[in-house]
Amino acid sequence: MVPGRDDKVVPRAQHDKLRRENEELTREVKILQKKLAERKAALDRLSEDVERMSEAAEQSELGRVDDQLRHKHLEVEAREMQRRLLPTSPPDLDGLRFSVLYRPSRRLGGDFYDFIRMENGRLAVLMGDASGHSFSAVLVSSMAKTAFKNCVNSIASPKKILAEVNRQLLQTTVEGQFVAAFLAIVECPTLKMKYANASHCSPILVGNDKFQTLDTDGAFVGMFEEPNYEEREAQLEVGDRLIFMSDGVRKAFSAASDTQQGDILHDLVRKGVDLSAEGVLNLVSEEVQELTRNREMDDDVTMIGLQVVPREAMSERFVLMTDPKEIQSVESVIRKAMERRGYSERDLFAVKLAIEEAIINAMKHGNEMDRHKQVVVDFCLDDKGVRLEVEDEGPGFDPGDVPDPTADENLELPHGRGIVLMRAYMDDISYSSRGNRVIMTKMSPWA
Amino acid sequence: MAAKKRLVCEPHGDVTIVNFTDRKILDELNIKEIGDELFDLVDKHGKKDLLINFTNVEYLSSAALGKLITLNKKMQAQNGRLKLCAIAPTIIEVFQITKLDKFFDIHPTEADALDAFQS
Repeated sequence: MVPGRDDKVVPRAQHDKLRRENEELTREVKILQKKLAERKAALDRLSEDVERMSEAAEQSELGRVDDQLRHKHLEVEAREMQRRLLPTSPPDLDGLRFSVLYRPSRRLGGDFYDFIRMENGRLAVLMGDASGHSFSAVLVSSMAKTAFKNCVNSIASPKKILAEVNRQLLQTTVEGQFVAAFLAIVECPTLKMKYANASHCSPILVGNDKFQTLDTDGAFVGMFEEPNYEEREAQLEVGDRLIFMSDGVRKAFSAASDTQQGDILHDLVRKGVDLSAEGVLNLVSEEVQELTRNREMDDDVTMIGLQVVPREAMSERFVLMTDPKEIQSVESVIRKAMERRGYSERDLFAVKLAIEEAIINAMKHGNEMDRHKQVVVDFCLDDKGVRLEVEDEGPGFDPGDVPDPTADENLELPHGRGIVLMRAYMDDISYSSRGNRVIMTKMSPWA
Repeated sequence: MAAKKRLVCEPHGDVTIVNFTDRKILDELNIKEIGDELFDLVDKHGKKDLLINFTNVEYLSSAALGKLITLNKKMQAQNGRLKLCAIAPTIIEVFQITKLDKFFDIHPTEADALDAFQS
């Protein structure tokens, strides 16, 4: 080693000291490095743990979200089922104006209602409420509604229908599931009504000098083997309003008043006596909303309003060219009008057949299928029945001249049966003296 | 453009079973075409044994009866056989009022009618 000009010469003792300090520093650095490595390892482990924990958290969150989604999906399905439990609209019947109000609560409820047309101009109006707020309530409602719909086709008495549905529900539902129900059957052309109540909220009937809650004894449907339902009758009149409501409505009023729970509600309905059915429902439901504003609405609010109005007689004239395609428009007007009056399928068939035969006769025989000749049809429907007159431009004929198609010798003739069918299906037919006009009537079964 | 087919035919051995494609088909508007399709079965396709199934027929006018009578005559002329089956009560009544319920060979079900063809 060759000393340079800047080199310092250090005495041996100092050199040893420096050397020792250097070794110590090196040792310390090594220790620090080791500590650093350990810390780093610990940090790595921690960060692995964090990752693992957050993955786990994610999974359980996902799991939870997944469960929630499935729950929501079921809930959506249940709501869909619930929605399907509700018919889309009340029937179109002459003399009866319906209004429906349905406000479901946030939870799934068991409210249901139905309008079921029966034979002979009768209509069943059903309101029901299955116990609880859950999927099972919706299921039980669905079963009950189906059971009612099926019974109504074969049983005409409200108390017997309740008894039969009771029997069916007892067989199929789990203990503790039952249904409150109110069933009314209205004979539309006569406005006679029978009803039976199975612990449902009573409807209110209000009219001129009339105020009544409709109630009968009877346990919840699906509760007891021997429910002992009873039924009562009422005569509806023009000007009456009949308000059906679910428990949600009654509860809203009872919570608000410490006097008899019915009073506020009854006063309100009385106040609405001059309103339409829809008007009364709106009046009551606005009040319900007001009363429950600060509380979470626990129950569905379901209401049906019925306003009885005068039936309208109708008469219409159709002027047809001689073309069978024109018959369809006449038939559909007649059918719709008769359906609104509550005529049975058989009566609808009878009138359709008779009017078609009469118009074809007018076109074929009266007008000789001359497209430019007219056929005039007069249709009249009122409380007495149906009246149809068909006139053609032909010279007329004598019905007596038409051979009897049911006589053996005439059976093979392809034509000539129209009049026989018209006579069979209508109550009365007659011809004008000229013979180019036929008058047919069918009496109302309720006249 | 082919006209809408109003009949559906299904062979069953020697018997041709005829069903209607539409429920209210036997009213005045459709009856001419239906009649033509039925007559073609005999005139053009030479069917000898026909079974007309009235399931789903909700309505029937006197013109339809007329076509059935004409069809029956055609078949008799060819030594063929015509049977009717599955006629709903409301429709049977129309046959009864016109006394054609005894004129035609009517059976309650398709199976009964097919059996009858065998004997």
